[in-house]
Amino acid sequence: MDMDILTVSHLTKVYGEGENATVALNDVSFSIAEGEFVAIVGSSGSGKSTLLHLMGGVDRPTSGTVLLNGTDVYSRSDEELAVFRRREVGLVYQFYNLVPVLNTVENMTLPVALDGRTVNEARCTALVEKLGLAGLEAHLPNQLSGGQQQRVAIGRALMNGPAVVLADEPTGNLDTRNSCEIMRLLTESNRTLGQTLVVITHDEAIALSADRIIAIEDGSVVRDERIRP
Amino acid sequence: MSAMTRFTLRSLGANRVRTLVTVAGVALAAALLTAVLTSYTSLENFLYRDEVQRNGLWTAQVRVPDADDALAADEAEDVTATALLTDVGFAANDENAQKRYGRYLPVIALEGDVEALCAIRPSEGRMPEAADEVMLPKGYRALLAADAGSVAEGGDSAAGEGVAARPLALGDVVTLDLGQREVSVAGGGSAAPSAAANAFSMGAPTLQDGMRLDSDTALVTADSSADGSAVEQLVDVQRRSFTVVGFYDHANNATVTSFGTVALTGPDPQAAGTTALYMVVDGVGSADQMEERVEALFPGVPSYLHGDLLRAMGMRSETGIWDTFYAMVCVLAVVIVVACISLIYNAFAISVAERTRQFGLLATIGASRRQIRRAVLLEALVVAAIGVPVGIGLGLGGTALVFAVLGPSISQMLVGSPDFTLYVKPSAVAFAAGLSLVTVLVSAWIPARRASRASAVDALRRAADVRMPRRASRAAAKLSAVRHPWKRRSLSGRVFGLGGQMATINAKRGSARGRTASTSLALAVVLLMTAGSLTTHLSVLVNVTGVQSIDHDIEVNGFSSLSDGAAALDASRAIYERMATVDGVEPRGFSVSEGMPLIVPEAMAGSAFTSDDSHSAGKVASGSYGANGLVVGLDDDDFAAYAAAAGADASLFADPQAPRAIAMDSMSANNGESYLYFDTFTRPGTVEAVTGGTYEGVPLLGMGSYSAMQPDGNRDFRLQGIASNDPTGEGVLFDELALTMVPVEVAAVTEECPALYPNAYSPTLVVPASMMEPWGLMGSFAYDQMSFRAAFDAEDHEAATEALQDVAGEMENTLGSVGESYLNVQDRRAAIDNMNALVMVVNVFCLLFTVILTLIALANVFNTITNGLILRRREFAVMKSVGMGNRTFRAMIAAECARYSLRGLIPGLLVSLLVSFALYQAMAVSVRGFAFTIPWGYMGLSVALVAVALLLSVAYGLRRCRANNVVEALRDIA
Repeated sequence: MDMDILTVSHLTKVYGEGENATVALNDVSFSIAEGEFVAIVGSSGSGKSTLLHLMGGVDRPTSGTVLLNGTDVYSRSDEELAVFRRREVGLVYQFYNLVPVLNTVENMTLPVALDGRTVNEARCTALVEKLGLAGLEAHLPNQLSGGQQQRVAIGRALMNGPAVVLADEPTGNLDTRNSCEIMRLLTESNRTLGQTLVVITHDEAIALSADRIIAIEDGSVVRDERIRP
Repeated sequence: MSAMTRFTLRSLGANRVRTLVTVAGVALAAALLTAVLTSYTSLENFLYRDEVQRNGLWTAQVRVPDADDALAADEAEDVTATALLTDVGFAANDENAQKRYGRYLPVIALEGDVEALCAIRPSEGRMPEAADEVMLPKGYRALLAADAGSVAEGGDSAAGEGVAARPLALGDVVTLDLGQREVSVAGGGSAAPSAAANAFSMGAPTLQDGMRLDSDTALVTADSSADGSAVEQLVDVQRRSFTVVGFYDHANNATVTSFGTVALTGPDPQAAGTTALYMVVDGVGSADQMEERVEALFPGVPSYLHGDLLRAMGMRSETGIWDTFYAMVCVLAVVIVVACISLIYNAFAISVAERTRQFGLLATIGASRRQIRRAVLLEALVVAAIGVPVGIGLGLGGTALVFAVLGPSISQMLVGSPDFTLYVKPSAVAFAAGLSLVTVLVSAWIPARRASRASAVDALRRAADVRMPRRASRAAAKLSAVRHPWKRRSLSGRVFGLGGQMATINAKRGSARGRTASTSLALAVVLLMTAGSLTTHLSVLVNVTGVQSIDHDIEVNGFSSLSDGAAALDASRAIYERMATVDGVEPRGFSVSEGMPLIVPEAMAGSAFTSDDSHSAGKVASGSYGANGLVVGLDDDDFAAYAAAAGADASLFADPQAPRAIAMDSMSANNGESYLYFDTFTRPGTVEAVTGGTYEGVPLLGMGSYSAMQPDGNRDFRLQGIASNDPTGEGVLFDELALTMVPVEVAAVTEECPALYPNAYSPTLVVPASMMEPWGLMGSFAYDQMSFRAAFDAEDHEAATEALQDVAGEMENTLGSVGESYLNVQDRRAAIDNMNALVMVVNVFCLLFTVILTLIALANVFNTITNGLILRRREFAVMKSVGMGNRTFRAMIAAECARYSLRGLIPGLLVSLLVSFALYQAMAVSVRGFAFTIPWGYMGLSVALVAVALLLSVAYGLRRCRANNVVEALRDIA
């Protein structure tokens, strides 16, 4: 558990230029160990989503580095970055962000297909079962409930066995029952498979179920505390 | 103002660019519709005024035996005006006058509003007002003599006694011996009309002894009756004196009779002849109704309708050149309406789709479906309220401008016509406005319904911007899509990889967006092809209707009656050489031509020989085809140049033993109703030219030809020799003749025309003039006539024309006996200027039309494609965030473009071929025999232009997508 899988150092992100410049992240540094479950908390506009996107290789930082498995994420070209995203990172969003024209299975296996590999059917079936999506394989996103859509999104994030799963308010759009279910699925993958998990949340209960809480305010880390060994 | 109204107006104001684009689209559509309709009403109005100026306002005419019979018309309510032209009598013309006119000078009494109804106007003096006043055709000025004691000095010779000493002047008194035409049949009784003079031209089924004939009836001669027993003579001759009060030079329907123009007097109670009653019948909507009304007033009397006027009033449609324009306007109007509907529809559909979520949110706070629908429709009304008036203003202004620039050339071209000006018909403008408004409302209605269906849930779940059609879930539920996701089946997937596969899935399950894009591409192709086809067909029309590539200033045409062809050629050439010495004149060429029957083998015969539409052509006994052809002889230099243009070796044509010719491959003809276009010789080969023949050993005097339909449906081509030893005097048929036939080898078939013969009107062979005699390609008939044509250029073409006319006067007698030979000098420069004006009108029209349609088409493509991509910004961002690389993304877009193109271009090309064919059909109404060709060039051009527009749109759309980067797109909530 001591092996750092993700290291963020002196990460700064500035949006806009000149007078309109907004500092979203200001010199943020921390490390996340393999198998760790980290909750990132902070008020709206504190920069936590920006941080998550930078960790996931979606955006590029103004300065600073992100090391995943010892490799500098942003030294890669755009094309390599795309490969990185589909292999090493699983992203889960508040608004699910499924591709509307793809059915459940296709949405889940999109990163595999993008990687040009054949889908491991056994793994896919197992994941569908585990996510409680059996019988919904052929449904399009708009035929699914919010909770179901979020489970598809989690399936998509887990399908490739990424180094880290990054979730941005995964329960922000769901009722309590569905929220619990989603968090159960995520923590279960963390506990049983040792999946490294970073969750942005407003929900105190979720934050308290994590191993470690990082609080961000105005683009800077204001608190970083391990609540579970 | 309700909350929804305020919301609508606010959102229109907030999206100023989108609102402006939509308003501009509506304005453009309304402008185009107005322009097309106003052009048509202006044309119709021009034709109406032109016809009124030429022939007057009358709509129907009947001929009644007595002026009193015409009173019935005065009592009829719907007859608003009448004019009576009553035969007074006929004066026999002298020999001189008979040459120009006919046997008689008819005298006709005028009554009623003849100036307005019949367009009878004095060119000098005034209209006759009394029975002893007369207005004469200008041509009779020098043909009639004034009485002694007239105002001016003059001879005392009456009509029929030689040429007058001086031309008539106003105030002169002329004395005419007026009689009535009466038939007399040898032995009394009646005589049947012969085939030559049919019952119609005689005005009666049989010729009765003692029957009176009116001015509308043709002269009865020995040929008129089958047995030659009927003749006519003047009876009841009375000497009458008339004071000349006016002259007129405008001959028209009312003033031209079987004997040419007439002398007109004032109302004459004693006039006892037939009365032509011209009427204006109001309150009728069609030619048929008009006929019924007239029939009700004058039962059993045949009536004549003013067809040209009724057509310009929209009451009658007949085949003819104007119907072609009418049909073309219809095709264009349909294409423009479809284009406008599509443009406006897309503008609205996109504007509403962008705001689906907004409408959903409105629904969540309690707006009813009806309110949302009304909001969209209100938006459409606001857009229409601005766009339609602006468009109509632009359309009228644009048309007025074009007509102001081009109108004078059009009027100048049609000599004696009124000005061609803008004519705004309120009903047409209202129609354009109404159509535009309906288009806007229909275009808004469908998106409005869609918007009103956006439920609150959809809005909150953010899924509403892509609504899944039902078929999408069926496709998604396919077993293969579940068990074996991403198995590559589609062609697109094989070519473009995963990106292609995504494109296929998107096309199969996505919204109507892809279809909209394909439709806009299809429409673009159709619009561009329509513009192209229109240009092609109009230029054909312009060519066929006689606007030729004449490039000389003065043309001399003549024919010789010398029976010796070589002598005729020498005489013609002598005239040309003499004319070439006139000061300021530059000779441009000389050619001779001789008509002769041509017999061609079936394999060489084009439609000019084989088509039923072609006159005097058909099969001959041997299975070959025959037709009257023309052999054109060019000077050696001209021939060498022509042979080079036709790709033939000029030296081939110098062997005195081997007649060879170059054939022109097509010809046109005009049957009075429509223009016909034929191909003549389909390939090189040997044809036979008939140059002479004998009947029972005696040389023929001349030869005629005709074709006759056989019971088996084939047409025979028959030659008929005119022989002095012919016992019947009616001609001897082909089979009984010994014909002289010259085999001519057609060495080349070409579309090139000799400079002096820019249009062929019969199958034409071109040879060196110097070889016509050695080859025997000159007719050897006594009645043979060789034509020649010469061309000259001159700086001062008017003066040169006069000088050449003087030479023509001196030398006309060298061509043979006066009267049988002919020599004419024409100033072509003025005609060329007019033709250039027409060509310019057509070209400017085509150019404007093309530019506007291209703009609409490309704007539409740009609008749909760019917006389609921008609306999917978020979808793209998701794909990228889960690891789709740029390469795969580009492959996906490329595959989608390929799909749009296939789905759009193929139907587009098919539809545009239909439109092109419809325009061809419209043209075929007046130009027949012209084969429909697929406009490959325009097809290629349209496809290329659309492809470029597609690429630019995609490039722009993607740039807009990228400007809002992945993170922003993902975060984007609104």
